[in-house]
Amino acid sequence: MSSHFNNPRLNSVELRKLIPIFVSEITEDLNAFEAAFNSADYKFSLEVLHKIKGSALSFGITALEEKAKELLGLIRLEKLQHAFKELISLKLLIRELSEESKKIA
Amino acid sequence: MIDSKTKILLIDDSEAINEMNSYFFRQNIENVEILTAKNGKEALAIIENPDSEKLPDLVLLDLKMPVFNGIEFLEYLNSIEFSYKDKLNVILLTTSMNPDDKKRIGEFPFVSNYLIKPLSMKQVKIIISTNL
Repeated sequence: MSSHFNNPRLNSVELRKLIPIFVSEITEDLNAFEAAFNSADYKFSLEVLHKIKGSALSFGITALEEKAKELLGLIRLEKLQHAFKELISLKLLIRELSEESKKIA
Repeated sequence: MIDSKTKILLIDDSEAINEMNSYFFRQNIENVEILTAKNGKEALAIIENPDSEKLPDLVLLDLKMPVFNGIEFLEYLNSIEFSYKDKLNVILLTTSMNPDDKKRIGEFPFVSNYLIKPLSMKQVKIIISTNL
């Protein structure tokens, strides 16, 4: 079964043990991003997205990295309605990652 | 092979990334102590700890962190005098390096390199061979 976590960055048992920490962090980061975005604190929302992007890169989760990059671009260009739609997409992706992580032994 | 205990300080606001990078170094160095900090403030507490037997041989520093980010951390270290200063070796690890940040980093003599995330096992081997 295909999984975001079956990628070359997570090629050892030790590294795969870090997945719950990663998922927990990005879930917290998502909450922080959503709160900042909804309160129009775009500067902080960009900082949080940047963090999510860095974590996604390190753990080889390309879909999350791309989504974070997309949102970074939209907010910088002040395309906020579009960014709001992509926020929903980001939430779904992180939920998917959370569900996948529970299936990993 | 490195015989004496090597001490490395990893500074990143992501615990997951710190743990990953810690794993890479532990896989390549016997007898290593890895310390981690989530921001510049925690890192300073480690560096300035008077009870510490040995200061870090190498510091890996994320640039963008809350509560005393990478630049602020470097500025503070640059502004104070301490005996360890000439031995301080900092490598920046960041997702991007905008030209303004790159210019600022060049002002700090103890920053030996900057690397773009994510860190790989191969890069860690190179870091070890050239810095430790």
